[in-house]
Amino acid sequence: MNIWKRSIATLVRKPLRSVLLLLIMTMIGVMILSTLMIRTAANAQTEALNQKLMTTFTLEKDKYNSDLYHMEAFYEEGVPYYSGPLFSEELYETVLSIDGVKAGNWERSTGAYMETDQLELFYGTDREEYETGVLRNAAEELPNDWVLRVGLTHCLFPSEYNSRLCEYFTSGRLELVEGRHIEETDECVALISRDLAEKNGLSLGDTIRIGASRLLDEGPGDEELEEAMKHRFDDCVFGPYVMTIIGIYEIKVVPEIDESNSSTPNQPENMILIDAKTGEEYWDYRLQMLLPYVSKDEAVSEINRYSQTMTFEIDDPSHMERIQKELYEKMPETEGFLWVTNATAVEAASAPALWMMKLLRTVMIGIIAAGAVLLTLVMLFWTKARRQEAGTLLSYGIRKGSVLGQLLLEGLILVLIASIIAIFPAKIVSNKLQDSLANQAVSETQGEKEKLLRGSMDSVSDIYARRTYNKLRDFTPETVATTITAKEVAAMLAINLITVSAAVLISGIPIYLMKPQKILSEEK
Amino acid sequence: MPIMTVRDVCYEYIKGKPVLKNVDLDLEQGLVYCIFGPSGCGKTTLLSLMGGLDVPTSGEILFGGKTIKEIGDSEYRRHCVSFVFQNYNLIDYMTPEENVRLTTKENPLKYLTQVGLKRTEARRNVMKLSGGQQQRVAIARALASGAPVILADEPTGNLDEDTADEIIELLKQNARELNRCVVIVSHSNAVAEASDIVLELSHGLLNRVK
Ligand SMILES: Nc1ncnc2c1ncn2[C@@H]1O[C@H](COP(=O)(O)OP(=O)(O)OP(=O)(O)O)[C@@H](O)[C@H]1O
Ligand SMILES: [Mg+2]
Repeated sequence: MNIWKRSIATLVRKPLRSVLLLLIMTMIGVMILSTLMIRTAANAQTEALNQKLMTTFTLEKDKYNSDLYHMEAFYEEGVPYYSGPLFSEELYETVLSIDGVKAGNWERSTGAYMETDQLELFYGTDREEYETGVLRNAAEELPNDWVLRVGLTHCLFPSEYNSRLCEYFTSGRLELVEGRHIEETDECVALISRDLAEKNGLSLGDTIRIGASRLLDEGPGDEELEEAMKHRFDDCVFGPYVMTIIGIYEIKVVPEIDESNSSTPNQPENMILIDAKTGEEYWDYRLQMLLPYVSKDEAVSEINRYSQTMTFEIDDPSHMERIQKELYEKMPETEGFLWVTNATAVEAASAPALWMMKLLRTVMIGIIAAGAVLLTLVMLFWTKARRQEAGTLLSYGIRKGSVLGQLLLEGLILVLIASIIAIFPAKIVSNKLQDSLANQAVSETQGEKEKLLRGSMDSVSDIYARRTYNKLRDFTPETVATTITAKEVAAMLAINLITVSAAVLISGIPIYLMKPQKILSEEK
Repeated sequence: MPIMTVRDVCYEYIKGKPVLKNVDLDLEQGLVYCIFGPSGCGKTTLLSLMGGLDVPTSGEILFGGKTIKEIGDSEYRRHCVSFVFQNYNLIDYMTPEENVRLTTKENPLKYLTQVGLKRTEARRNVMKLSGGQQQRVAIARALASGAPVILADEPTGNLDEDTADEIIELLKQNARELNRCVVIVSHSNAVAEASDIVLELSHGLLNRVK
């Protein structure tokens, strides 16, 4: 009988031993394969997360760095003069030119200086801000009613290069429900809230007018307020611009009302997002207005005083550091910006997968080691019979290699069968583990989101509060369907083979060391 | 010229306690040898040395004028000698047929029928045979090998008188017709009577008594 026939005969005719070994090997195989499958799935999930929850970074003026601000006599009310780096077209283009940066958004908030006419806005509860701030240049002793009405013509007009990347949307607080986002090439377009659209009977394609009237600066003069309001866009200092509504958003997270957002222009329903070109014209107008009175630098600084951010989408969170380094090399002054990375959700959602991978690696090594020990023990249990068999074979001139090779071959045949059997339970086990993985990712992102929302629910208009929201849109990690690939099965087989070979070799040591003479003194 | 020569062989399992002392023996083809002696005197030990399963502490064993080492361990065990073990050492997961096939490429049934096994018994699980039947399988396996020297350790221990006689006759026939050298360790008088040369092993010394 050759080695093959002997191996198969042993396996078939010693079923108890074969089944026991097969069971252990299958268990090891299931563990290895499930681990491999989960690893693939976890990688796929992280990949999918990266796609779904885009990774961005935002450049902001470092409001907290007092070195960048100092008081100037020019500003009567003590508005600090900002001397840090400024946002510019050059900066925007430079960042976009860096490898790995996919898209960008330059957001500029106009404050409450622009107006709309014929729009019924949502009332705020506090007029204080208008009386003290916005209307500080207006004629004194205006009737209460006037202040209220003028206040109602204002709202927040952030201008966007790419509203898709604007943090209102990426944070999940706003969601575009109709139409499309503003893009860099757009001119005279606007996104409005569903509430505002419904209140004013507006829909996609309708237009609204925006501009800055003299009324705001100069007051109604001799005219009746009613009349002045009606005709104020006839002679605008800026505009008016006719904006086409291209998108309607819904407010998903309503900020708590407090001092900072209780005024009418700051009501989230009133916010109108406009294209960057129109926004730019407005800022030019503001600059021109300031130039007769202050130096150009001061004027630019004044304009930059208002909220601005640049947000860039990158293709892979792991490229963040390199991109930052490259930008600092190209434009060293940009180090003065606050660099806010928004990969929290990706990190939160992929954390369970990473954690589980770490755990699985440990568990897998443990199980393989335990399996190998168990295999060795089971094999050693039959050693006495095997020693006698080996001695007999040796005494008839069968070589040691062939005798030990038979043990190995038996193991290999079993491992092959075990590996095939293992595929089916591995699929079930890995599916179960993956479900819990996905659930964990959901709760993890949810927890992270709640934590951040709780932490800073101040104001939709407060850009500094906004950055803590990061990018936490509603996210349900999908279970990535696992298909067993030949690669994984091959890897499982390889690991299993090594384990079994080790067990065979260890249990084969007594046989290897044995002299055939010994069988003569072994009991029958 | 003797086929096998045991020259001045000493053997000890434990240092200072020799089992075999300066054993000399020439084995000729065509003859049946019988070795007897009290239990534990070293008969099986001597056979294992002759079978190349162990090496003497001193002295040498020559086969056809060459040492076992020169011939090579497995080559020697496969082609020069063949064992009938005292405890049979049948491979438990093999049938009698398969056990015999370990030593031959010929049809094992030829040898199994020679020792009186039926065809059906030849294909049964070897462990399900009686002690005597197992012993006969062990003999068939040794005879099948075709080696010129057969080393049989108590080959008739478990057989009834009639069967034992048949087996002894078979071994003798092998010696005569196939020009083999058959060495039988046995206490049985019948074996001693049937043998050409009878040797007694006692206190580590081998003496010819017939
Ligand atoms: N592996 C061993 N280690 C140590 N001593 C051994 C070993 N094998 C045998 N002996 C001892 O060597 C002596 C010879 O043993 P052996 O088996 O050769 O005797 P034997 O003549 O075949 O006896 P029996 O007629 O009972 O088969 C005995 O005293 C035995 O106890
Ligand atoms: Mg003995």
